[in-house]
Amino acid sequence: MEISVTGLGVISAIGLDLEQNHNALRSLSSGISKINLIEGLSQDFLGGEIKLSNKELAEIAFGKDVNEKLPRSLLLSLIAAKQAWGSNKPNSRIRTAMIGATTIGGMDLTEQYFKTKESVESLHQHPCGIVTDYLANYFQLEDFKTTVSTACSSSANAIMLGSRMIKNNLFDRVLIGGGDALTKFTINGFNSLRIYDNEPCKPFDNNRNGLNLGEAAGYIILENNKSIAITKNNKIASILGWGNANDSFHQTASSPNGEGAQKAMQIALEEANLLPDDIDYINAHGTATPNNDLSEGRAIETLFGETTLFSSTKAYTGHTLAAAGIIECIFSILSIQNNTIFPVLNNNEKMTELKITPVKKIMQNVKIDTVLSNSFGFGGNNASIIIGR
Amino acid sequence: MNDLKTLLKKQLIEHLNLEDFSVEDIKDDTPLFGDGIGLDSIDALEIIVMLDKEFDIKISNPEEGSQIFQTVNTIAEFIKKERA
Amino acid sequence: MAFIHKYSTISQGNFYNKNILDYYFNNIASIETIHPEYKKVISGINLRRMSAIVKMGLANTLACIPKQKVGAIVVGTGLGSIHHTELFLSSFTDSELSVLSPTPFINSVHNTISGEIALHTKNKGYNSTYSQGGLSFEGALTDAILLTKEGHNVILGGVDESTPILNDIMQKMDSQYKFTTGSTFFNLSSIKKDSLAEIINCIITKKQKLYSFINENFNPDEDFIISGSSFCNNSERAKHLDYSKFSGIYMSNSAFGIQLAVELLNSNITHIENHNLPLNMKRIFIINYATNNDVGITILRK
Repeated sequence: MEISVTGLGVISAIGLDLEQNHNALRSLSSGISKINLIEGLSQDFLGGEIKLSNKELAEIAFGKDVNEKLPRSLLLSLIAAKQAWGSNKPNSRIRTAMIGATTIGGMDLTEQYFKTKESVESLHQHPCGIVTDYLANYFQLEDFKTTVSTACSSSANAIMLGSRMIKNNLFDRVLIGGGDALTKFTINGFNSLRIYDNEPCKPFDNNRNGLNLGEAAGYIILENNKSIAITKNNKIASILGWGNANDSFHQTASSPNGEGAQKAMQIALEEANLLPDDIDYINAHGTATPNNDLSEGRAIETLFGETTLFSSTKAYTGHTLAAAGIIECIFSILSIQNNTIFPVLNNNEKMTELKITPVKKIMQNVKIDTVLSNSFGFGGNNASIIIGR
Repeated sequence: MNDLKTLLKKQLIEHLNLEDFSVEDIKDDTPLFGDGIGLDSIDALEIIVMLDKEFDIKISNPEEGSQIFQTVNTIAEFIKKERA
Repeated sequence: MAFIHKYSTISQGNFYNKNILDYYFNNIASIETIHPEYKKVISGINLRRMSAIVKMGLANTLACIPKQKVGAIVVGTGLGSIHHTELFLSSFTDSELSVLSPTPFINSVHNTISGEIALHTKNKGYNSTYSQGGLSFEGALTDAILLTKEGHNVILGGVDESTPILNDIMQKMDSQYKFTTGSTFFNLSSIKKDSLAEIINCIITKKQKLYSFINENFNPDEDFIISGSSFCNNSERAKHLDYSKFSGIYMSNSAFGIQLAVELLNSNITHIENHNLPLNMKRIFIINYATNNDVGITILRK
């Protein structure tokens, strides 16, 4: 059963659409800067902030000014989802589902309420599912809808569910994606864990000090052949495999040898009927925390060997939490379309514990047909997706 | 010093929610991490918060914590040193 | 397709290791959620950091663990640990403390429940969490049905908690409902033998389409409907046996409704709360009026 990607949409600190994101990646331009749109932070923080106010985002999303106070993650999601959905329409012959992903939902409005005790009605938009509800309504989708909330692996798990639904002939077309905006809640949260770097993050560098958060939204459309025959959409890429495994080691930290990560990647390979050698490039989770990069690095080295080509794109966009899986899937598609590997940034010293090193200079004209993308979340949640042409 | 150690034990039980432990269960030299009481890296961060809140002592580098937090004795010594 | 083998509930009423129907017929009133003694079920040092919602989910899971290896754990929750969300929000809103406690932050993450269950049962299989308001449990159930088709033995649950702050906010928003706390977990597999019920279907659709769906699928001689709501004041609940009257109101309470349906399919009850059950009852439809526009419909068969 072919699972085809036929629509893409992305907004992040490095661009308001696919083309802008691509341009930034290939010119090695990072979107990490001092976060200045959020009031009331206890200190300066660096992050992948989209330098647009909610008003400006609403104007892009709706084409006009809107009176409603909407959560920032909803505005980002609507912009990306509209890009992906394009000219698709509801159709009684095409069974269509919607799967969203978020960590924060409407938390930006909730934290405002906790501060000012004003506009209590805005709390109707607190729960995770509100963005998916809004989008389903907007695109007139009346059937299955849900939102995955597994922290940093959320949208990767959403891609997985959508793919399995198509494979098992439950649906013909699925709108899948996720969005998370920067909030005091998440910035303070990661800072309280002492894993927030106050300099630009350095994935897989020996002196890495933690992550920088980012905000983003990304959406894709998956279709089976029956749906494509009706919509006549162009096939952009394929989802070949997926795997989810639990590390079962600690509430937040990964196991030192990355067993859960290894298992997720292994399951994805089996699902795709591929061997490690068949993977041309790995878009790693690579958050630049001491723990993740060691754990993931060891898992990659063990499974794929010492000559593996891998990198993390989080130094461009920041760690976009629930959106990470989907935007990195989209960046993996860019790699395939352009036969290009986008390198890590800020990488100066090899990690002493690993034999492997990430790609540090842009690689072009290199055969990239198959990419594996990792997303690992709290609660030991490890998700791997394999994308092909 | 003994008063400080007793206070520390009470605070550890309260801050870390060690419901099954009494002050008497935590000896001055019981290892707090690993095989002793069994605390983990999150508890270490919580002890840093506790020291800030209760003693106004700030630890900027969590890695220092692994040495300081080994037992009630080592924490008490650290506090005594910081106060001096 | 997917078969239910075990269930366990903690909710308004003393349900842990008991049946909802036993409680109902013994008519023991309770408006508080009755928790088991967690120390007897979960070892002490691990309890220290767990939120109430994790304790419920884990206790229910331990009551549902099958003999076979569990390959997947999926949970649906509308608000996750709202208590820890409130704690962390207050910690940086109210105080000037620059050093924040990380525990409420990490506990506020929605998949802490499924993650902690995996950690404590040493489970390294598939793990996911769904949060879609009143349809949170239906999302998890849909994944669980797929997982059984893929050959896994599954732990599936729906759990939500309420707090005084949450209910205070609900009142300010002019809601007639007070949220309660509850949790229901199941063990599912593709094995029919010794099962309690089969899940034929679970769909999510618009309320306007509900009647045509029932008309096309419902057989009054063999089928029975129970319904409930996780949110809205829906007068249509009065037409059917209302599971939310037993469970209380919380976003994932359709899980409770499904346990009630399983129990009804396995009992000899012919009459309950002014409703007559068909003599040769074969199937039960569980309708979840999740919002004013959306419904979840799950169909179980004996």
